[in-house]
Amino acid sequence: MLSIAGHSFNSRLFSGTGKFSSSRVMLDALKMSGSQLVTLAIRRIDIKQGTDDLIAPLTQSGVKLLPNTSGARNAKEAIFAAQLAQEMLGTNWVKLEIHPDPKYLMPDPVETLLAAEELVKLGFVVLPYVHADPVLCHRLEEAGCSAVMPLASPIGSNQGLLTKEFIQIIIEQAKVPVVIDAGIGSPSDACKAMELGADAVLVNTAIAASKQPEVMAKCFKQAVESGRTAFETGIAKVNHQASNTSPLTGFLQQ
Amino acid sequence: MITIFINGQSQQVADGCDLQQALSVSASNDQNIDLANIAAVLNQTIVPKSLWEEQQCKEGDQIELFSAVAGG
Repeated sequence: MLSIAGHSFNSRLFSGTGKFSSSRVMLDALKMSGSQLVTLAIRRIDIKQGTDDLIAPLTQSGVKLLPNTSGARNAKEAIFAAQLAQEMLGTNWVKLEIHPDPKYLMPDPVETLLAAEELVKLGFVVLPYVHADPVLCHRLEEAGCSAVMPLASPIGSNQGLLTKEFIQIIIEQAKVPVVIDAGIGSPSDACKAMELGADAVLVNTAIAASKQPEVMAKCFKQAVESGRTAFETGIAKVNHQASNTSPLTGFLQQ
Repeated sequence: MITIFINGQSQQVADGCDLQQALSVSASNDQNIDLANIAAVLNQTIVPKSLWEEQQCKEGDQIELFSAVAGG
């Protein structure tokens, strides 16, 4: 069973709540995904527009909330966002994400490390969203992060595991759970990430933007379970020449 | 009466009112604001909900309210 900061999860599929056509569709999809950890964001309220009734139904569904710091452009803003989330939701868990560049949403490694060090000191359970950089992941682990969340490809791009080789190094080295976040576009991407030995994957766009999010959520659930079971069972090694599956002798001739 | 600002919008509230009362006035003016799951920042400092009743408002106070929104 997956454990992060002493909290156990039966499901290794984490879900985002963005981009769904309605709250109802989101809740149905989350239910089908089996996710027990879901992300949300923090924003200044538009007084004219009011607030969404997002928290109550999510809390009632029994999932654990993971607020993110999206929108923060530096460590200072991210720390403030984490503190707002803590006050608002009563959780000290935070998905630390600092991506000042709006085109590719690449996470800023320097600000992320600075923020992580400070947030850990303040008692937060920090799950940082980072590029698939094994050295950075190691530094974040040393700083006291409870997991690392390297990207597969840019947020919302559905490009899949572009960083596969580096994710393998991170998985090999990490002593904290590795959650593959961002860019996972299809169930097969999620399955592959789990086959590599990732501890979990976080999926949002690929489910939310599907024509039938609740069906796609189930597909991802199955893919993650299948990939994890395959990893635990031990996947057969790649051979570079053929290996016969039945005896080559005894047919027609001795 | 004093004037305070909530997310940039001016609001008239009774002199000496506390943050809880000021936000309740704002929430009743705008039915879409649910005070249950928001965070309040007064002049750039987060004020925990448990202290809203103890925090007195002053003329020109800048209050910023934040809520959770869908996100990944």
